[in-house]
Amino acid sequence: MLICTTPFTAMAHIEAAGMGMPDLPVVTVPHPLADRTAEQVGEMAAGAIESVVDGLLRRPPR
Amino acid sequence: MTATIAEVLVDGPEDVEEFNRWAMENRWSDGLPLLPPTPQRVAQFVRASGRDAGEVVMRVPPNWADATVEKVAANAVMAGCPAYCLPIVIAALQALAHPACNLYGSQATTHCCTAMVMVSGPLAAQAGMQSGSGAFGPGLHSNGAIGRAVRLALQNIGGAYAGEADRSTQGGPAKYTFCFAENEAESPWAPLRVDLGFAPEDSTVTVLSAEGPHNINDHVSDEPRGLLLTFAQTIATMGKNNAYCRNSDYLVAFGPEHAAILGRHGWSRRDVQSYLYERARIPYRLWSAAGMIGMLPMPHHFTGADGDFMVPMSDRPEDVLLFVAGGPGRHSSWIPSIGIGRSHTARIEDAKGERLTQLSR
Repeated sequence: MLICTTPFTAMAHIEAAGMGMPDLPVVTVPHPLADRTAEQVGEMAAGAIESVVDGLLRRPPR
Repeated sequence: MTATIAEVLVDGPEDVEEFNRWAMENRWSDGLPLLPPTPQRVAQFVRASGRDAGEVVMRVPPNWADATVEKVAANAVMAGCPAYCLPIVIAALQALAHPACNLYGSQATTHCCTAMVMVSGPLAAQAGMQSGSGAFGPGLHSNGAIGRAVRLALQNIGGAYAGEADRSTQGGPAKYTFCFAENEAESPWAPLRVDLGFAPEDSTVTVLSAEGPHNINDHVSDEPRGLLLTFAQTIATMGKNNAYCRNSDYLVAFGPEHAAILGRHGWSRRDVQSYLYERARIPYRLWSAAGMIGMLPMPHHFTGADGDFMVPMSDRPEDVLLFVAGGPGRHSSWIPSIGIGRSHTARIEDAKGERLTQLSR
């Protein structure tokens, strides 16, 4: 399971494939992360949590 | 199982311009003209390496593909690198694979770092490398082509394409090539490789995930204290990863005229390292206000520091690596690093792991 911001999605898939895990679930959150408030980060996490659960359980994306 | 070039051979255009358009479409390029890696040229380069075509030199992140001698040779051909320089390219790639270098991080980071290669020792001259005027390039020497061969191999074998896996925010001109030779003939100190424990007869590569060189201009100092104050003030800057990443090292390339001042006054390499360690520092009140503060663990002895505490740019004097490069003129430079990876120096060897003393020209 890998979580990254959107610009890093291609890199995430390349690295996962290179390390022998081409089907590793990748969850993306909006970029940028660095200048968000704690509240905004909380909202991003809430928005991604279902995908994270799907990824961890290896269910097809909703 | 790694495919050989014979197994993946493709028919490409013979015309050079057509080939270059085609190479761009296939993403084998860095944007500058390439030479077509024909089977004949690649075979010639493999022969010059003295190694088997299928030998795996290292694995290149982020896709962790095997860098075989044949694949490295193909990239060296495309880079315009002379065949006889291939052992240097291979040694540089092997050195970059050392875990201390964190090639994985540098291939994918948003930082602007590139694979810097410094060659020290007798093979540099044999390879037609420049250690004097204009050593960082451009020029009528092999420095640029050797560095470009390393970079193309890292990009094409590792899949680190700019804007994709290579996430560098702005990129950087040093990413095309950053390779030079140490000017040991004009150094008041032992060559860097000898200081690091290698024999004078050895030739070595020192690699670092580095920014391009930052100029240090001091046209007036004739004694070490003033001169090195200019160095320290240039180096101690908050925008550099070395200011925040502990356990990092950085390089200082002394122009021969600056080095001669230190030599005349009897300053050893250790003296200069100690000075820069002590004086290239940032007041804690500034250091703790911005930059990368809070992103990385802070050493215990920093906690509770008052605003006047001076934060060093390296943790130890020996993490300031000094050598001479360049020619006449009162300029030097320092070479900041990615910070989360260190330099590594390795001997240039033949296929049997023995000291390489002769390139096959």
